[in-house]
Amino acid sequence: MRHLSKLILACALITGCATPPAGPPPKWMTDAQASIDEAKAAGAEQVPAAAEHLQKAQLALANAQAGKVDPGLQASLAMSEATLAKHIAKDAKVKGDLQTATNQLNALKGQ
Amino acid sequence: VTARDTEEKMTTQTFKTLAVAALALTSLAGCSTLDPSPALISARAGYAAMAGSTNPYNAAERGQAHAAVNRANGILAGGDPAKADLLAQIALAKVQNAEVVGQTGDAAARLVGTQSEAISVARARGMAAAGITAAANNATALTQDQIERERAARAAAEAARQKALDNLKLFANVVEDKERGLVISIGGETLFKVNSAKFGPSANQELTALSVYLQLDPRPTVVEGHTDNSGKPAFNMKLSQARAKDVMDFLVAQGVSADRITSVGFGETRPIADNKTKAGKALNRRVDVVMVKATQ
Repeated sequence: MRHLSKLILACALITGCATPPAGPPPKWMTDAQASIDEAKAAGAEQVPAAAEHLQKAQLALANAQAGKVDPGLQASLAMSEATLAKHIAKDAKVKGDLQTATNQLNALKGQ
Repeated sequence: VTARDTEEKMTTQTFKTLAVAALALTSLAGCSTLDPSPALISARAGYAAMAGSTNPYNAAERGQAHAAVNRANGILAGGDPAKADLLAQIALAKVQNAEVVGQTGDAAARLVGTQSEAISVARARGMAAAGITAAANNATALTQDQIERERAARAAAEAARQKALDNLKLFANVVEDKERGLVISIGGETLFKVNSAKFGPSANQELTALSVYLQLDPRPTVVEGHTDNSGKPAFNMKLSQARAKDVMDFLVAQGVSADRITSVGFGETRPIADNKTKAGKALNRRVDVVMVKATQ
């Protein structure tokens, strides 16, 4: 009987410890996710160089969420990589537009 | 003294100078016990390549990259290679981001120029340039709109920063130090219980105000703990370190980016007032939050 009560107490302690208190995610976590969403909205998934950094951002955010080494810094890394992905996607768009405009100008000059 | 003598003397001096320089470099390498990670090497090289740039489109991003590289260097020098590598990856992303933003700005400027030239050519040939005109107008309007939005955003951010700073001044001593940068000094009793690193009742409100300001001023930040000279120096050192770290942890939990903030305890070693008087001791028991002055 004594062993049984000890076992019940141990189970209760383990269950108690294993259940983290529910609450809103930290701000850095939501900020990192928002940066990733912004990068996707800018078309980062369609630009290979941007997609590579988007993946790094998602991996870092996953590490932060998993509580791996220094979650705060992992979230910062996720934000930095996502911001880079977004700007690479924007850069690709502007350079594409520039190429189109240059072709257009050359065609006009050739007429 | 012949010209040859002079030449030999100069050669000897040059060798001596080189030898001293080589010795100094060897000594420095010897002091640095930790090797930088590949990410930190790349980040340093990337930033060095853009350090003298005058590109107007990525000035802010260059500043962020500089701060990130410095932070990674500092943590590596402090003997934490794992954390330094994580910070180096952040620094590398910021360096690459600055490069990309600069290139995009250049390309956008060329785009507007190319479209303007295309319109001129089309008009000169009596061609209907309506389509090109519309495209160019859109590009120009977009550029102007972007500039306006950025200007408005900057003005709003500056107003918010000033308001947050005014809030801080209600309970903190704020000084712009020529050497160190902006120093926000909060009395130890305001934040902590006596001889403890546990926060007192008003700490939450005041540290929240501090975190609001820090999120509006992105400079690298050092939280310094200081004590008076009562008690044992070793205890004071530990207490100041624990208090500084607690403040830093609170600020990070409130949303201040962990890659721009560090904490350090100085114990009783850096008094700002006379420890012989009660008032002086009170001034020495403090937490200084130093917004590091930009070095570029």
